[in-house]
Amino acid sequence: MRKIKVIFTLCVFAALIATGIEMQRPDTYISTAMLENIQALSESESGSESGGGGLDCSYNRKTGQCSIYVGAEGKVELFGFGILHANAEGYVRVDAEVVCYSDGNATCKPFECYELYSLIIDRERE
Amino acid sequence: MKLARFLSNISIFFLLIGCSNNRLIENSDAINIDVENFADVNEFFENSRFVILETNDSALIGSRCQFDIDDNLIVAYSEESGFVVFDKDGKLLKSFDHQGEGPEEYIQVTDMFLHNDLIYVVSGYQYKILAYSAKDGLFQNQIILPDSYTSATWLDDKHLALCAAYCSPSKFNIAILNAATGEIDNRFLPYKHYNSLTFGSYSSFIGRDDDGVYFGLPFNTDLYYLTPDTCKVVESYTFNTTDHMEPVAMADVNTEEMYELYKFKRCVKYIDHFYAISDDLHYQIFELQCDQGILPHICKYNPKTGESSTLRINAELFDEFPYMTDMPQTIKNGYYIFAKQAEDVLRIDEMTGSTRFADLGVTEESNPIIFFNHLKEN
Repeated sequence: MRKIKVIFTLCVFAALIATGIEMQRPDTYISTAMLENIQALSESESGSESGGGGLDCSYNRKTGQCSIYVGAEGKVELFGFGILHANAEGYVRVDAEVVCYSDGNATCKPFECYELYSLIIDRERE
Repeated sequence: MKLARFLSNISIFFLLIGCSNNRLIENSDAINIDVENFADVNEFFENSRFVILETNDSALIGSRCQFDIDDNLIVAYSEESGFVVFDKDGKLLKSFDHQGEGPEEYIQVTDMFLHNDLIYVVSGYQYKILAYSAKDGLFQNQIILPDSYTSATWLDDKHLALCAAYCSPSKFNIAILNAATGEIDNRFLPYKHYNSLTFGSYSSFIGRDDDGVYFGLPFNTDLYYLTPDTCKVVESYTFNTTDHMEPVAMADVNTEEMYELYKFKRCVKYIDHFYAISDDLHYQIFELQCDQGILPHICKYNPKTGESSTLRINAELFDEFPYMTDMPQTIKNGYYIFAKQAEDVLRIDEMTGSTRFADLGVTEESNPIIFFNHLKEN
């Protein structure tokens, strides 16, 4: 039981640090929906290992690619990467999406493609 | 006693150089793939045909769809639509979805494939593979797995190859399952770090011949070949990319860390489909992050001489093959087979001043079009 508590404490600590670092980045856009997702993850799935409530460590992550349509001559600036031009079809595809499923062995923060769109829109507004 | 020790040492030696192969990238016999200079599309393809999948309101295929195709059937799966089965001409035959927690149902599809008119559904997190009739969608049987595996394929009539891609608590990337007994006959390629991280754009089993299957692994650019008894590296690739992955022994690969480290890097993180036209001509597909985002590439090479040329796809539209913009769903019978959403096909027509697919009745709401581009044999 003590071992479980130690593991749980480490997971919560790691998740808090990860979330904290993410939120401190000045250029990072975190949407309201994303924060709601994180909050939902924190509040749900209160399995026995987590001692009832709190951030769970038992998730599977599935990564995917974001296809962003920007038009044939379009360009986008993606956080952490730089400026990308559209491919021949007018899309920009990048690795970014992360989907969370329960019953795994990892903490998981979902990252959806619209967050990249939001970042682009914000940059365009500046 | 000495003989026994000698034989034991020999066995360990062959195990070490064989399937416990931990080497990455560094290999003097590697095929060097040029990703800065590109060949003409006509050096890679010689003709193209397509199949328009029938559109029916009750069987609309979502945009994130996985396909498998054999000589007679085309099967599409997405979470939105479930399974939709077409004949080889695109006529809708059946649609079904058995999501659920019942004994004949699956919660999440981690892989699916067609074999002898059956659709096999790998439900990795439920430790099982279910088989449904492609014709009527009815449950046929299930195979219980000893651990979670993300993908599977038949090796022969008795054996299933299972791939973990670092995502199984068994801590072996490859297992050979005897379907009759339910026992694991062989395990290959051990690792230490089990992470429940899977990659949406990665495919484990990327080719086959009469005797075995080819596979690749995440954060690895070696091509592996698998039979029920053996597992070996048959090709290593190097790329003159801007970024490179640091060599890491397979046993030490941590996919969570490496995903974060290499997510936006301009390097090849894993190989995709492989096809051997002959002993002298092989094709290897891969993706690479470029100035235009992630683009598909095809390398055509002679494995004996190492001579190779590369085609970059979707940086521009090819005049002769304007719809050739995607990674393959599979390569079979010499055909590079890929699926395109109807709206993308219509957009390409608009860009090229064509009304070809609109004239054929395709609308933005239509189901995808399957293209079969024939790879050149010389």
